[in-house]
Amino acid sequence: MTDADLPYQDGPDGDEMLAAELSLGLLSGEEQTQAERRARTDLAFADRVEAWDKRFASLTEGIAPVTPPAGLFQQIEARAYGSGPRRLWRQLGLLHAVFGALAAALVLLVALDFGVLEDQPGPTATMTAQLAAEDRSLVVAAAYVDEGGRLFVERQIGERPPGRDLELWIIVGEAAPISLGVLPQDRRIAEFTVPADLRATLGDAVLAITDEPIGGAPDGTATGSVLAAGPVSRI
Amino acid sequence: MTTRSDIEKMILRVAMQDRAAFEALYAATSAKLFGIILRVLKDRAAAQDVLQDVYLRLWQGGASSFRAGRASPITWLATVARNRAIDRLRRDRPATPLDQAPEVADSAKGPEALAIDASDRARIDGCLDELKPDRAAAVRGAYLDGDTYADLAARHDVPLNTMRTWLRRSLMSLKDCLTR
Repeated sequence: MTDADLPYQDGPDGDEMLAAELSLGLLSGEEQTQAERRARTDLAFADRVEAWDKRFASLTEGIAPVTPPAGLFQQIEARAYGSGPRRLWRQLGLLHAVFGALAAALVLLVALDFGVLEDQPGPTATMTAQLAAEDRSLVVAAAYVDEGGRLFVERQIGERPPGRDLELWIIVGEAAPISLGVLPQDRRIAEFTVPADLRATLGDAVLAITDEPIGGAPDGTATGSVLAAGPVSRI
Repeated sequence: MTTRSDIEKMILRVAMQDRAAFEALYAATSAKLFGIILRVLKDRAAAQDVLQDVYLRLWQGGASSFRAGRASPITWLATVARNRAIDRLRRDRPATPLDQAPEVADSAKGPEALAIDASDRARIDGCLDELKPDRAAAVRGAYLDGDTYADLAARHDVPLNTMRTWLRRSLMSLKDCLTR
């Protein structure tokens, strides 16, 4: 057995030292993965890491600035302004609804600071839903636009189970769920059309995601377990 | 003249997907961040990739994780840039010899807003000077050259846990000195 196989014997300042080691980048392998995970979930530990980040950041102060090549920002812009999910939600006027409390607080802060929120042209969502698994292993946001009965859906957290598809359903009252289709495998965002006869009752509906064979439930009836669900609400 | 508060506002507006603020933030901070990334990677092409990635992530939601009032915006950006550069270094290693000639830096000093508090820097330098020279070099090497415990143990030819004990003692002394 080599020394590297032995677990390290922590002293009384173990957490503080681990935070310093993570900030400095001394850890590797599984130990690094574990510490990074902890920094995302344990606020006290995250604060320790942040304090060390600040201390070490002053080591960058002596580094002279170097102007990046001309044209680099244009490349960044080209990649940034493609039609990603954030852009879509923003066009739908939905920053609050789908980005959660942190972003909402930020929006408020900026609105207070600058006194304005820009108007966005384009379609406006009238209803939204957040479909979440109880343990939040799958979170899907949805926004509905009256015009054309379009439902935009983004898989925000969670992956498709291997060899399976995720299927989206509308459930109104006690009626049988009606499939809207399967979520795309290669993209996180998709657009569905809500059938015309369901649009009037959509505000009282529940959206749900089930785990189905590739291509979706074969006979139009859900076969797999419900992975995430959430009520539709008007905005 | 760009102030610290201007940069803070730019970051908040970037989180709101304000393109003008994104361009302004890039104009104000990219040379500082490119300098840091180049210092870590010592490879211009890789550094350009990482710089693009840093700003792209800021645009794509990273800016909303900035907590105004807690860290200075430039300290936060410098940390993000350094961390992305170290990730890249680890991924590519061992690609670049460490003794490769460094990039020629701009002679112009950055604007005042981009300065990490000079007294902070003086303090960490002073505190590192209180450590044994090889320990101070290990701390600097970990921060800017991406050395891990495994690298340092191999270089000093000591068991990994021995290296860890040495360096933890140094980190504790460093903290004591910085909070003195």
